Amino acid sequence: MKKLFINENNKQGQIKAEIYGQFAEHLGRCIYEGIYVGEDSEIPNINGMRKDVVDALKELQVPVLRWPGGCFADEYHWRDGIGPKETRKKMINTTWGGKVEDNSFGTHEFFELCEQLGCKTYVNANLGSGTVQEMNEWVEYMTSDAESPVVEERRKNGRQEPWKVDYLGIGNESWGCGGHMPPAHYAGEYRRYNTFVKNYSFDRPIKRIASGPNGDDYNWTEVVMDTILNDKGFAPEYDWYQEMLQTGLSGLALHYYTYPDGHVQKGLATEFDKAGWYRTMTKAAFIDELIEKHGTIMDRHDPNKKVGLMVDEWGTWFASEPGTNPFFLYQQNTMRDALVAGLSLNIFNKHCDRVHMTNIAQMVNVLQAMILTEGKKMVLTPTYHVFKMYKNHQDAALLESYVDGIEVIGAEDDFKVADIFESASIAEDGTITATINNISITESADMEILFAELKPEHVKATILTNKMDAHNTFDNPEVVKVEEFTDFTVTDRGVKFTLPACSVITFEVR
Amino acid sequence: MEYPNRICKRCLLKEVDAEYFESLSIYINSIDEDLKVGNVTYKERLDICQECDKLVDGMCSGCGCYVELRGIMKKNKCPYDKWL
Ligand code: SF4
Repeated sequence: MKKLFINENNKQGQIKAEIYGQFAEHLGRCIYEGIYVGEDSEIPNINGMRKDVVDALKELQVPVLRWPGGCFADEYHWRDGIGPKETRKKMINTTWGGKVEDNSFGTHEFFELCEQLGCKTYVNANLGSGTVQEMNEWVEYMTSDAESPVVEERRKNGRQEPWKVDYLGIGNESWGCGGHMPPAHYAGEYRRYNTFVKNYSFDRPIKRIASGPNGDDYNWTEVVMDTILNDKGFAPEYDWYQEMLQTGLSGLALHYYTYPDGHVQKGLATEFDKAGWYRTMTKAAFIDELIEKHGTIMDRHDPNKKVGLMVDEWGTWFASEPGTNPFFLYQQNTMRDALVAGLSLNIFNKHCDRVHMTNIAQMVNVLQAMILTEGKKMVLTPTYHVFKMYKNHQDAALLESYVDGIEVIGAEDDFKVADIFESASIAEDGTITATINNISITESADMEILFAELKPEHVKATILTNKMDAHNTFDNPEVVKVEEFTDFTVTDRGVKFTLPACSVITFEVR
Repeated sequence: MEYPNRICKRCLLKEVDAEYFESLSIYINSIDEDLKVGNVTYKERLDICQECDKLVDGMCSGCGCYVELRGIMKKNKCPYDKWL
């Protein structure tokens, strides 16, 4: 019998809602077709946004949305996406498949989408191929209420009030598609650009996010953190100046994808064997070590953890579905993705002191998506269901928890992984949520949840379980779905149950 | 109205990228005949695609598929229900 100990008396910090954030890039059919179909579409929409997709996303309580990229961010010029749609500039999206980008989804449409979703905004601005002036004016266009030509232009384009930009990414993957810069060079550029990103409202300052490391590039973290936070040069007033203007660094972006078979030869999302399953889980679970190690470096420069590690791109990356444009990164989504989402979110929760936001890649039709669309049809993926099952964790307090009886499992020596992942939190209303994953594809696990003092009175649970490669299709959209789980016994100190193989389960206890 | 500089969109993949089409047609040839539609239906489907706004460089922007592959499979449907 495995024992999950939950100490409801020991709160270990707040799980920021932003940990459940999303990412939508101008890539493949994520924005166009997946979210935005235009006002004239035969697909029911509100101001061009697909109603079915927005309604489904609302169920997830999307806390924040990152846009417009990704790699696309560093070739995006915001002026191309404002003004009358018929006159907007067409460009070739050279990063993603050479598709013609007609810019019909631009700044105004992004904020419209966020308003419909009721979420915070995370704009990733162009440092790689843009200018300081361009970034400065975009921020002014979006957030200023002054009488200035740029603000007048926004008003002329139909928006009187400024919007709120909660987070601003200053460059993306500046080590790669965002400019191939060495870390010290990037950090210098960050400082220059950041100086001209103004806060137009001091009670709503923009949180600034620097381009962070790719996977285990610890040197990037060290140099960028040191240069941005410690290198005062000849300006000793740097700190108080930043504090006064509220322009300090809020986050460092970490990107980490799970490629079970390596980056070059990728297998299909739906075709894998037992070894492929455990390789995937092992690689996904590696995010724990990455957070620990990047976190240790960050601790040296930022001991009070004011700067968040923002995992603003993560998820599985498989081969594109056969017959689809390979640069559109359209992949199916199985129970394997559900377990990757489940264990990753549990890991993020446990590191909520340092991980302040994450943005899964991506929201619709790209990589590990919540939703797949095909014309008028829409299907919810297993990953969608996991996000829904975990939503109680948003803004709840992390509780101390650990499992006694974890086994290390796998089909190959180099790819062994813990069989159980979990996290627990308590919401303001006193509801305790525990999310538990059984990674084993063959073995169920007898388990008992034990609280420190709590005697459970109300317990309810939901489960997502199926064969490892089970997935939803447009013809059969409910193969993998959340079901009520009632097969448990409430004891004096907790709950006893059997956790089926290959499952994600959520308990709500009061 | 016709625009002289307009990018020609409504081409099939074989007209846009011969090399990629070649590998796609090898794949199409390898598919079990029972799973495929006959020549007449295939041509009908592709003719409709060629008249459709969603076709861009051989690819249907409604589903992201190359229509020469999507159209050959009996089980596949047009995402906007335009095929007969
Ligand atoms: S929507 Fe239908 S007709 Fe149009 S390109 Fe796609 S498959 Fe062809």
